[in-house]
Amino acid sequence: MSPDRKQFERAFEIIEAYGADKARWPDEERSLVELAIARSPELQMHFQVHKALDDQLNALEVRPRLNPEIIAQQIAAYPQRLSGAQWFQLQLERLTESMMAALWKPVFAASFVFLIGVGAGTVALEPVEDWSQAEQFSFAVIGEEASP
Amino acid sequence: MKALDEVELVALVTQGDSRAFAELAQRHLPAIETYARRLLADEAAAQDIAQETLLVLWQRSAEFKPEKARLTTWLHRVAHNRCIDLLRRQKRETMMPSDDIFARQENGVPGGLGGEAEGEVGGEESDPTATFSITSESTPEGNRAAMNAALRNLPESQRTALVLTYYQSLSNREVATVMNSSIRAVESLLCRARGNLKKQLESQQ
Repeated sequence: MSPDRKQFERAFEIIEAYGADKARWPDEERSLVELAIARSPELQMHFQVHKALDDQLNALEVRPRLNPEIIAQQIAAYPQRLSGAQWFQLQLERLTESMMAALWKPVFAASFVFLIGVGAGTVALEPVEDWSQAEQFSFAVIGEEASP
Repeated sequence: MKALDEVELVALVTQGDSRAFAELAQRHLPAIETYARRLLADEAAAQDIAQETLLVLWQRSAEFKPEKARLTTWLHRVAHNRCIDLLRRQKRETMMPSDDIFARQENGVPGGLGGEAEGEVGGEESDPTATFSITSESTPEGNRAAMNAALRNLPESQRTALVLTYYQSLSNREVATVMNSSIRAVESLLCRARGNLKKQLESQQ
């Protein structure tokens, strides 16, 4: 793929993802997209389509209703140290999160390797020692204990 | 309080300074509340989550690591996790409907039935209340209602990526941090979200 084509495709993707507002484009790629738009009528059209969508998104306004000052006063009345139950719940949440996020990969890898090892060992293992004498000894001991 | 930077304010909050906490609440509570409202489309639940997020800041500010993320990113992540938990709980309730949920649905209260499909828009689990009846008239109110419904109809992850990037003005890296994802994945979600919005709005014209 030619560098121009690559640049075009990346600019297309960026407009599609972030819209037509340049402020939202990734800083390090902004100039690349601007250059590509200036060169390509197709990108200019793509830009206009997304500008229209941006205008509609801009029309949606949500006004916050909570009063930060009052809420801050109410919350600051709470003790800063966690209660025992809160602490326990937090540890439980963390444990779950870490198990879900980080622990499962190494655990999975270790179990996988272990299972491969057991599997390979079961298939390939051939006993090399002669255990027949040990067996005879143990039977002899059991026999002695059993006799009156 | 003189203009202190956020890291200093958080350090003061950790020591129990309620004025520093009020200053941080002033700066961040509106953004967190609007984020939760856009994600949940339920004002009461959004306000609860915004307050819970501030409570986390008050009680666990020592866990904030300024070298890893900005405070706004950290707070958005805290709020995001709570919003997702709530949405999943609502989804489970939808699967096992109780009388309470049916009652809420009948009364038109948000938070009743209305789970979101993870797949494409208009899936079986899409918000049944999201309709586009107003778009035939091209009034600003009609357009707003149509866009609002289209947004609500997006799958949860697409809506999150869009709201964080578009309305909360977080960078792609920060959105990835909040969503515990990669920048590439966030871009892909954004493309799909905007594509779905366009499709929904076009289908009404």
